[in-house]
Amino acid sequence: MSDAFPILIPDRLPISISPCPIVEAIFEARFVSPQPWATMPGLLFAQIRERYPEQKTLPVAQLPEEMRRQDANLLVLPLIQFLSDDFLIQLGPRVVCLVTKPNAYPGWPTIEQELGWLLERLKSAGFIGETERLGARYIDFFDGDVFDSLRIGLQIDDQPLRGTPTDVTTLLRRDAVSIRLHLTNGAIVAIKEGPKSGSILDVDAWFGPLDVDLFENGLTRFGEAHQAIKGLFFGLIKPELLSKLNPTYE
Amino acid sequence: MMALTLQYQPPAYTLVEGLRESAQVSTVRRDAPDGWAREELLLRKLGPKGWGRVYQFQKYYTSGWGEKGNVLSPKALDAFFRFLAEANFPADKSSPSVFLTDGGGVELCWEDSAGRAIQVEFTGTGAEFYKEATEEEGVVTFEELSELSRRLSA
Amino acid sequence: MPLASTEDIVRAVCTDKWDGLRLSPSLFVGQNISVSRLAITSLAEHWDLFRQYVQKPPERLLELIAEINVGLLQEIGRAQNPEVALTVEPKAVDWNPAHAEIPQRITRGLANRILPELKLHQAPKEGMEQ
Repeated sequence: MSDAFPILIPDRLPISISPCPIVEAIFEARFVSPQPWATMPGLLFAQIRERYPEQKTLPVAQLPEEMRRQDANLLVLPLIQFLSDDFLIQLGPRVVCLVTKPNAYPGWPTIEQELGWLLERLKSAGFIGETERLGARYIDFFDGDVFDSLRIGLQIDDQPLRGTPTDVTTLLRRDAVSIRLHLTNGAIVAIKEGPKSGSILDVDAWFGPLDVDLFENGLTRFGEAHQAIKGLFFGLIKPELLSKLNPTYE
Repeated sequence: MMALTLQYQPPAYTLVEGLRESAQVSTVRRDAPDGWAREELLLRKLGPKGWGRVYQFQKYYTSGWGEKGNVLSPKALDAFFRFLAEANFPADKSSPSVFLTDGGGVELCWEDSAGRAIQVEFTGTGAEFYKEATEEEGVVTFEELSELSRRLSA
Repeated sequence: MPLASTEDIVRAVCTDKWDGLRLSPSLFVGQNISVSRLAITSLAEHWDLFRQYVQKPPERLLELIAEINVGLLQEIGRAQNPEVALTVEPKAVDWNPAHAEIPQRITRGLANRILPELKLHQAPKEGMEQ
């Protein structure tokens, strides 16, 4: 298996595109804590209440802990959500994340600022022990079948598979960053006007425990994960799709 | 292994019906793409018992277990996997044993081909080792794990 | 006042430290290793005590109780190079009046010499006295 990264990242990346396909961006840190879960929401809320006055318990919190333990995905899910006008903060026994509002991506500079503020508050809250994983996840929606517009696809007998509902997931690695790339042309998203079907590009880029510490290099690592996803996105899309996104360069 | 797989959907979208996995009892447990390689490594190098024990340590030993137990350190676990990927154990001996230390570290114990003990404990800051044959014990950093693995392997 | 060399001490061994084949050396590696005194609480009572306060079923089960004589422990320490003068200091806690500690630092090499000298007790069958 080749060590070279299979996607060619353009030297020059746009600073913005319009229309913006980003449905949601999630900046997540998984951790272990010496504190019991029961104390964590209160400790965090005390630090963020001025900006995030509203809180909501998530449906998965109703599941018994024993059931959540049996599924690796459920174990790291957030159980409570704090809301502000522009972002959500989600918290679970092993995870905290900053999430953009649906279809309202504010741009990386705004996100970076909010992340910096949140890291300070998390440090003050004092319940985060060792960092297990830190990463960014961007979910993009496109009308129609995006496989035609990307440099990735499924083949059968050396022929591209077209026109069928398809779901592809692959794991890539670029230096210390692991990247899970998930692409499907059979997705449904909720927009203001109602549910809409189309394609999703879901990219999750993260650092493992030996490469990150939330309070020592967390903000830098979030920036690197964001940059990795951005590079991969523009490396994947074909010129025809890029031109429809009206890219702006510095 | 029988497992009830609960379907987890990311929050921003759902898959159309044909692409969704049905939630059903299955003898095949599908791990996340980055998890299967580690499970395969555990099964290959430590056997089913070692695989099961690591699974238990990760899933069930939450903070405060035992008298002074600390939850499994993610750094220790990562270091353990990195070491295991490069380690070779004598084929004619029992599979290595894996333990969870009170400090939240992972301890790996086996014997060399002459039956003498070799032990490595992975912690949140590095690894401690012991080699009975040479009465050697010491501490290495995460960056020195590959070299340690070569030194201690069969 | 350290324990006399005639006393016997025990340590709980749960599933995280015993896999059916090998015992974890980390049971005795480090400083302030917790032990318990048979002179204060009998072995049979230790099974009940450890099951109540140390065991956490279904995952973490009490598998064995490991016993060693204080004098033998000290002999092993003296035979180590460099010599380690091991003592066992009483340190009663809320849940265990027989609790004690070995305050000295035990290296992995020394722990590996202690392990073969441990007397390992398995859980008594119901109705059998110990």
